[in-house]
Amino acid sequence: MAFNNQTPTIVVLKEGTDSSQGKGQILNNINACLAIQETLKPTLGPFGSDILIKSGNGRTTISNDGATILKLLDVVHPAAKMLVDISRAQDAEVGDGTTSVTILAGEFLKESKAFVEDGLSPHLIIKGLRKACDLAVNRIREIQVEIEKDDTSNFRNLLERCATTAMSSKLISNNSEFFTKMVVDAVLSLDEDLDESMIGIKKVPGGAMEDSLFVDGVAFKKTFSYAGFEQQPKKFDNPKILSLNVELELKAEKDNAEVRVQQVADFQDIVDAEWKIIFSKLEAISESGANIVLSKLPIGDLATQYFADRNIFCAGRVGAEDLDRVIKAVGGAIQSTVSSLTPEALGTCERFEEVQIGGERYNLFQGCPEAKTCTLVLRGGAEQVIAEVERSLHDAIMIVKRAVKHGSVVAGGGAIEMELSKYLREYSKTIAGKQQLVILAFARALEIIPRQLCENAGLDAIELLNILRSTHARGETWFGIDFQKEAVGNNMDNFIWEPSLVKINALQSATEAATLLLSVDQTIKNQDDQANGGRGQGAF
Amino acid sequence: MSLKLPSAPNAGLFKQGYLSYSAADGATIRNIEAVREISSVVVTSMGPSGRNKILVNKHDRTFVTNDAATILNELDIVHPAVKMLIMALKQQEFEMGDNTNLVLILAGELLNISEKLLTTGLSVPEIIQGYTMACKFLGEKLESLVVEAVDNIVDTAELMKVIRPVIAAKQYGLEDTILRLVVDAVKLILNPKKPQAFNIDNVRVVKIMGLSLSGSEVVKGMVFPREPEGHVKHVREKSKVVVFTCPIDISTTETKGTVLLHNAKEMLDFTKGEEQQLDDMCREISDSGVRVVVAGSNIGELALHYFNKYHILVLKVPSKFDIRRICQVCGATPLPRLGAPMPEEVGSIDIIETKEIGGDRVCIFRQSEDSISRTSTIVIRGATQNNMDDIERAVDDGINAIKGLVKDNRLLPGAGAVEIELVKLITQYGEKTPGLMSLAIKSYAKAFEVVPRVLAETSGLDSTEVLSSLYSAHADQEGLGLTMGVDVDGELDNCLVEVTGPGIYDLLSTKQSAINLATEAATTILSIDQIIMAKRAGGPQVPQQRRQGNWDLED
Repeated sequence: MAFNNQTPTIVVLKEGTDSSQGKGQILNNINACLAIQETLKPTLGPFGSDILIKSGNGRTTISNDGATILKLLDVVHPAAKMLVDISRAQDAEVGDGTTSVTILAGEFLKESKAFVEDGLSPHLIIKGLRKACDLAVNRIREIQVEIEKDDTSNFRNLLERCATTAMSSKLISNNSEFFTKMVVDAVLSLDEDLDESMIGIKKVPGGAMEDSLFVDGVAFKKTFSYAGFEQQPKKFDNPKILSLNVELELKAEKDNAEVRVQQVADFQDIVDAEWKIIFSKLEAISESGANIVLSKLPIGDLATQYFADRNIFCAGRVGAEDLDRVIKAVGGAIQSTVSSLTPEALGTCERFEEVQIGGERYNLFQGCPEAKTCTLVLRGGAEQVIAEVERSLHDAIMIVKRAVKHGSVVAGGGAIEMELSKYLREYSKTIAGKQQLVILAFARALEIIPRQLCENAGLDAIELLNILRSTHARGETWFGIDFQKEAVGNNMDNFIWEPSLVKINALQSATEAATLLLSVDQTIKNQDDQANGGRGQGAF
Repeated sequence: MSLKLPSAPNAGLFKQGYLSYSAADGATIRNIEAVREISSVVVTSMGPSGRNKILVNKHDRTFVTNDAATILNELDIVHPAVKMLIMALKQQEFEMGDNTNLVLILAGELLNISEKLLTTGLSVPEIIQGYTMACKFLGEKLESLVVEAVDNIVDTAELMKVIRPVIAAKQYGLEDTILRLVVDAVKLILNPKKPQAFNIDNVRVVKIMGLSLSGSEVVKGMVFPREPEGHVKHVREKSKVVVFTCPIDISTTETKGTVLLHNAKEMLDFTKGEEQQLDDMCREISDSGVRVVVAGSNIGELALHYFNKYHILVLKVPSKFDIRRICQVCGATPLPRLGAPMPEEVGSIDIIETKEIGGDRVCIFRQSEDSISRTSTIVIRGATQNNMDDIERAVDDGINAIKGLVKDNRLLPGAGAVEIELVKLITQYGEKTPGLMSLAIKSYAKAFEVVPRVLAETSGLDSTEVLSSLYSAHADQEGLGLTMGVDVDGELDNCLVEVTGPGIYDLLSTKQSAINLATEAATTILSIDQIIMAKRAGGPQVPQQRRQGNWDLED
């Protein structure tokens, strides 16, 4: 092509590479992020609405969890992707506040947009934002309220309040009393490592949300079973539990083994030997004194009937996670072989039972001695509802977990944001130059949280915000929106508490994303290889 | 097509589909234009207030960076002349690990200026000769501009002197935080008696999402982003470590084979024998006092079962690099065979812990303060993956600076000060040179102006004003002006800063190498008078799959 007309064009980058540069690019990126922020705004706070998302494969999800929504939105804009990133980071680090972090980042950008348009060097804006963020974080550390962990009842109160605050914005807020207890029990049952994967969450459609169960041990759905299962006992007190990673079925012992026999008589020996192998395994198990046999791998009908004859309960194909939790709860260890079973390999619990929950049979292990794990069985009308309950509980669990680790709180409901805003406003008056403007903008941006809370609740944002500003100016540190009275109130006394870590992390992440986006002045996008037919230049 | 198209030169010479550009078509000028296009992409990324770029490469991965080497790596460059420039840049990256942007910008500027010379009628050889002479002169002069040297490499303050400007050029505003991390990490592994043995490979970086940069830390030892396999997750006291590179499982033959069973008894004993064998091996390992097993390959479930039984921690490390480092940290010899290790093959580690950082569970091999270690790990935290990647690049640059420092400890004034001084010196040299070369040399000098100009522009200063005040400061006869550079904060008068104050220095060796490479690349591109490109072979490209590496390839 370029060859024929004698004036070849310069091809430096591959054809189809898109590149744009300059101030317009920054503004373009900011606008993309604002679009994301707009989507999430209505979901913030206790009166935030849920969003129904129908994804490409036709699955519907109802959620008001920022991270979940952003994940499902499938954002392709490279700059807007960064907002998705920070909500994920917040989810990983804290588990809650994913909506607020995105809204904050968007608001920082919105405030900076005016500066960029006015021709202020992004470099200066970034410096100001970072400075303001440092100040705000230090301020939180200054005013946060520490709770003594030694005072058990007080500490429990703290956790319950944090959980209630976290749940207040979710679907389960009406049943928060019920779930709060559940969540706090769940987290306190963990060992000091606080690995939340040790809290099992099972979903059973049907029933009401209050029908949900807290099991101080393990529960899992009845596994696939063979004939003979019905004859097995389904209830034990203080059983011995053996967890295996062995397949109990008549099958070839080794894939790459071959049998060659000389005489017909030998053939029967071989067949007997195969039976003997499986029976010796089963004998070893029953001799170990186990009442319950669980295995990650299938347990066949031969074994099932064998166990039924000996009053042993068995379950094959138990999920790896469930079995790990069983070990954590009842003690013992997963055995990959049944030869040389020792008494230590067996665990125990107070009560084992197979029960009916909704339409499903569940195996419950309760009253476990080690009890480093627990299971929540969730009920609810629709699958989407249960899924949202699970996400909400996950958020609450994470919040409680952080509160256990750090033990310091601030007041929610916009109180801490207003306080920081006031503090930064005052600080900005003490310095000169362009930084003053940027820090003031940061202070203004923080007000988005209480404002949006009001708007979502149908309250008069302008009026309430003015009252809040004046109360904070009078030195009332913990005044925020009080939704019960539709007015302002001291949220520390109202027990609307949040771990300070949530706020610190949200501020830092939002600032990081905003500064990163401001520092970008060019996007270069390479086209996918497949998209342009695979031929580079030189094609005729 | 019935219409006869004008045929290209050399039409009969090459197969159809060849592209050929000759000097008559203005190949040189076009090459220059191409280079200018690419250098205009990265020019705004230079210096502390340089802008970032968002890159989306062909695999749809997003990068946010101002590192020239990364930008050009991820762009699919097809122009042959530009590719040459990129080779020079890669050379700089391998050799020095920093100042890659300078190579590109300087080469771009040199070519830009030569375009003007070409249009005024100078011939290509004259320009090349002038450039080469100027570069030689510069090489001799550069050493006389040294203002500072690092005498004691193990001294923290001295180290900071070098690393700070390097990091500030990448992450301005965060340089103190990153600096602390880098210096901490480097100090842990720097051998005071033998600083030459410093290996950049011994500082590892692990990125974990969440929190912010201030939550980053330095660990003496190693951090693996995975959990130990078995039930044992922690080792609290100093314990012995053995490293296996072979799969830990029932041994199988490489050649395909079947086990031939003759009678029932053999069949019964078969499995029992395997279990017995593994049990014996694990017991042997346990008896030799080993509490930790690091496996470079698969671990069989049965083997894991026995390790659990003997309370041995098992960690799988699939990367061969990491295996090598872990051997270094623990002082263990990697064993290619199963079985109990010899006493001299066993390493030791002080603490192994599994903990949650952010949402990830990691396994930390930690060494106590007093023990000797040659590996340290920087755990970077941040809210976005892109930002962490960019911080990692800044850390790498900082560590590379130390490598350069170990080789040559002389420092030049930074912030554009040395470039302005070079403009002055080379112009003087050019005036003394007779003939047309004088023109080329003077133009060469002019090219260095680009550095302070870009610094000023990206910082939002008036570049013309800054440049003129810089010139006047450097014109000082007593050489006092040598250390005056651009103040990127724009807070001082005239926007000039005395670089010795805040300590803005560049390494002599990196700068020298960057200038040499840029000159070389520019002259090579200038000397091209014809480009011939063969038609790409074959039909549409097959989407390239990453070839499975051979077992001994570095992964």
